[in-house]
Order: sequence, then structure tokens, then C-alpha cells
Amino acid sequence: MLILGIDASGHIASTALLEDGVVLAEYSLNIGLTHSQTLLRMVAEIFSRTGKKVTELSAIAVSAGPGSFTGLRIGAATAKGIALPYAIPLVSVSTLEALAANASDRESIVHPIMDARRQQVYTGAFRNGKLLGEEEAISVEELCKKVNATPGRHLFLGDAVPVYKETLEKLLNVDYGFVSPQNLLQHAASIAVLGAEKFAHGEGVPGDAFRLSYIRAPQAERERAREGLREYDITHEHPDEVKKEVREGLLAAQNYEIRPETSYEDANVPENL
Amino acid sequence: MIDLQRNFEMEKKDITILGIESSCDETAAAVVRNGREVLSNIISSQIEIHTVYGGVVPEIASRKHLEKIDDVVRMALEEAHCTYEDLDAIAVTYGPGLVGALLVGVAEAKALAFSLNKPLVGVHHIEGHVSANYIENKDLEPPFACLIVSGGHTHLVVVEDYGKFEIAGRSRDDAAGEAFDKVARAVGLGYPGGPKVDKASKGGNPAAIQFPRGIVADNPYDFSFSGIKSAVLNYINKARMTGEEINIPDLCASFQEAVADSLVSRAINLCRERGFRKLAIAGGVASNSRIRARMQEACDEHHITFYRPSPILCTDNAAMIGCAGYYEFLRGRRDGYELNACPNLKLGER
Repeated sequence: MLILGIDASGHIASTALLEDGVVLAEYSLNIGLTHSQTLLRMVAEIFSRTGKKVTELSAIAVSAGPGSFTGLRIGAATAKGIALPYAIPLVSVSTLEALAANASDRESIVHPIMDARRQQVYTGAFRNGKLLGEEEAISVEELCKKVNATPGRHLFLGDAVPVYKETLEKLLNVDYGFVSPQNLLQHAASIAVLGAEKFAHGEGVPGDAFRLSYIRAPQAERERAREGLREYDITHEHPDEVKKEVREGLLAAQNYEIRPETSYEDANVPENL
Repeated sequence: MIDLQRNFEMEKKDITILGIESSCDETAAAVVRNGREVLSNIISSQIEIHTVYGGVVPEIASRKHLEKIDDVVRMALEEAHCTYEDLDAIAVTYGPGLVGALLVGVAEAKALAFSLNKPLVGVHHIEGHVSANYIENKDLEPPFACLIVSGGHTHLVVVEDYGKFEIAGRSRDDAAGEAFDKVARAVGLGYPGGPKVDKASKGGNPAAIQFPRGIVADNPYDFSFSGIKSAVLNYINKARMTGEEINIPDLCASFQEAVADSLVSRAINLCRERGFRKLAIAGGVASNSRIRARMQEACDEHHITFYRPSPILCTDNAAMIGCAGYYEFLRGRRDGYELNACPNLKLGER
């Protein structure tokens, strides 16, 4: 079973090939270039060096979030594009779960923390690979409160460790530690290993059904929710009159024939296009 | 150019290109044969989602692109009765546009090219719009003059050859489509402004209100729409303060007339002064019925052949990207896997 792993959720771009539980290759770059410029070249490189072919893949495991919205999308679109022609299934792997798997520590509670900006981190608590609560975006202060209330040894890793190390050291009053630098950031091998397990449990999906878990809604959506505005406040349509079937078909892709002299009124041209 | 084309024709009869477009709020894919024959033209429009916000929200657009991109590509091939093996190249819009939105199409297209081991061709979005004219006008070939008017661009260009442009004039401030959006919002018509104003102006009197024509001093081909827009907004404010009833059809028709005058006069002057007998129009605003009619009249009067794409080809679509990609492919353009999205890509830049 050959699995390609892809992670572009943070500053580091990483890709790996895993064959029957053996990591054949892992290639990571943390050099400040956008993933758009680096990731696919790296994927091409590991295929070329291992002599493997895309058509031999059983599945592609992708870091599904949380993380940088744009980075996640570059990773996912890259996976989708590779998978599409051969209907290779995609396996969604939580970025945090994969980070926690870097630690290989069965005793501690592992807290991957990723910089979510706006004074928050994306985090979740894992014991022996299992998520204890839920994945969330919270402030470091809140996180420390939760950690202090939980007995046991705690281990921190992720790109927010260098950002919030001092704060953590100041606020934590439990037994804690940080992982060593080589395990601090995302590894596509971790994505591939977890992806292989999930795939064996039937978690593969076709590319068009793959969804990222951003955790945070887009800012415009959050603002709209905060102000309590709904569609019908703006369009002045009564909610009961908003047709359900229209809303469901909102994004439906459609073939548009090229016919000269169609106009806005033509049924072939959708309203507002 | 011709030799290259002949070489390909000797080796293989047809060249089939998959075009992918995701620069703004349309996720689109199309299969185009030999540059001008559209085998499929799939579009997933998000416009109703963004209508709630009164404009395109980049983060929402990017998320929706990622959800729909596989669908549109698969449907484009199915509709064209094509397999991936039949494709000769993959063409993708890499700029200008919203960076997050562009990146989805670019990453998907690059990954497809890698997975299929097919050539990748990056396409300039505006070059795509210009190329939309080739699809329905099999006889149209450069050189010709072209007016590009959309929500983000207003350019008057000379198309010297496929993919080769001389920019004669451009907007100094707002794009024509932006002015439509702002005016539509001000009179409560909502988003998107272009089609809303066009519809609302039906039955209105284009001479009812005199709005300025936005003359730019040092370049006779440059445009300015902020003056027209401000005049409309001032008119509305004044009417509201005096409690005067605003006749929306008249207002829209008069605004549209001012924009049309501004566009038509410069395009026709360029053709006359440079001796072009062919004038094309491109971009979303090229769907506007009044602008099309006025341009046609003026071209007839000056014995210029006027080319305009069907409205479905004026909007963002991937057929135009497949078409432009074909000519770039023939010119030998090949992009590597490091191709990046270029949100501010200039026309004629690579």
C-alpha cells in the first residue's frame, strides 16, 4: 500500500511517501517561499527519487486543518489534482493529530499548538494519539488554565511554541516540557502514517467530497453573524419566501453552451452571472 | 507562429486543451479544441453567496473554489466526451485576480499536469477575455483594437499578435464595472451592479440627466469613471435632501449613457487614428446591452467591423482560458511546477 502524505498547513511544506508502513521518502522545506512555488516540485522529486508512480498510489493523505487557510488549500488542491484523473481516494488527517503523532510519547498529554494569530492558538489535547476534548482556537492564557487543571505531564509542540514559550513558562504550574526542534513542526510522514491507518478503516473519500476543517469561519461571515444580519435583511426577502431548492443549487456547476446573441433575459444565462 | 502550427498539424490533427479559471467568484473548466472550438464550458458561479455581502469576499470565494474545482474539471471532460489522455495541455489563469482564489486553480492545474505528465500553460486572465472573441469569430485574427471592460479592468489595447498587446489607454481610477457596482448600491439595486443597472435602465431616458464624460487631459485614450460615479452619487444625495423622487430608470440610463459615451468615443478614435478596421470588446461589462448597441452603431458609421462575445463568454469562464492557452501553447509557452499565482499581473507581462 503506497500512500502520499502532504502537509502545507504552516510555514513548512512537507511531503512523504509511505509504503506498507515504511517511510520511503520525506521532503520538508521551511525557507519562507510560498507552498505554491515549492510543494509540487517536492512531490515530483520524491516520486522521481523513489521511482514510484502516481498510478501506484492507494490513497493521498492530506493535512486537513487547522492551519493557514491558503496553505491548507494549496495542499488540498495539489492532492485533488493529483488524485482526480485516477480517482485516487483522499484521506483527511487533522493537522493537530498529526503533530501530536510526532511526539511518540504514550505517557504525556500532548498539546500541539499552532499560531492562529490574533493572540490565539489552534490546539487540542491528545493522549496516546486520541483527542481528549475538541480542536479549537483559544488564547494561550485559556489554554494554560485548562492545562493547569489537568493532572499529569504535558508536552507542547508546534509552530506556536517559539512564539508563546515565555508565556507558557510563566503561566504553567504543572509538569511540562517541549519536544526537541526536529519534531516541533509538521511532518508529512506523520500525515501519511495516520492517513494509512484511517484509509485501512475506510476513511478515504473522492476528491470532490474532501473538505478542510478551518475551525474559524471567514471574517466576513463572523462579522455578519455578530451583527445578526441574515440574508433577508439585506435582500428584503421574507425568509419563508426564499426557495429552498434554489439555495441548494446555488453552486451547481453547469455547462453553458456558446450561442451568439443570448442576453441577460435568455434562460441559458443564469440570473446575475 | 504559422510554422509551429503547421508542425503540430503534421504530427497530430487536433490540439485539445483543458482550461481552468478561478480568479474571482466563478469556478470554471472547459475543453477547447484547436483554440476556437469549445467542447464544454462548465461554470460554477458563487455570485449569490457574495450578494449577501454586497461584493466578493475573497476568503469565502477561495473556500468555494476548492470545494467545486474537481466537479467542474470532471464535468468539462464528460461534457466534451474527452478522456484525460486526449488532452494536449492544461491551461490555467495565474493572474491577475484574488490571490487565494487564483491559488486553488493554479495548484489544481499544476497537480493535474504532474499527475498526467502533460504540459502546463499559464494564462493571463485579461488575455483570456480578449481571446473570447476568437471563439465565435473564426475569421478574427490580430491585429485589431480591443476594449476590455470588467469589474477590475478598463483597458483599450491594440492586439498586435496572439498574446502580444500594446496598451493605448486605461482607467486612471475606478474600473468601469466598479462604477456600475457603486451606482447600483447607491440606488439600492444591489450586487452585481452591471446587470442590475442594465435591466433597471430599460425604459429610462438616457438624456434625462447630464452626467460628466470623464475626460483625461494628457492621454486621449485614458478613462476616468470616478467623476461620473461621484456625479451620480451627488445627484442622489441632492434629490434625497430636497425630498425629490428619483426616477431610477432615467438615472440608470443616463449613467450608462455617460459610461458608454466615454468608452465608445475612445475606442472609435483609436481605430480611426491608427487605421484599424476591426474592434473587439471583452470583459464582464461587455455584456451591457447599451454599450454593445452604441458600439455597434458607431462601428457601422465608421465602417469598422465590431466583434463582441456572447454574454456567457464575457463573464469569467474557462473556454476563453482554453482558447488563449492554445495560442500560448503554440508559441511554446510551458510553465513549471513552481508557477505561482500573480494577483497583480500586468497585461503583456509573463
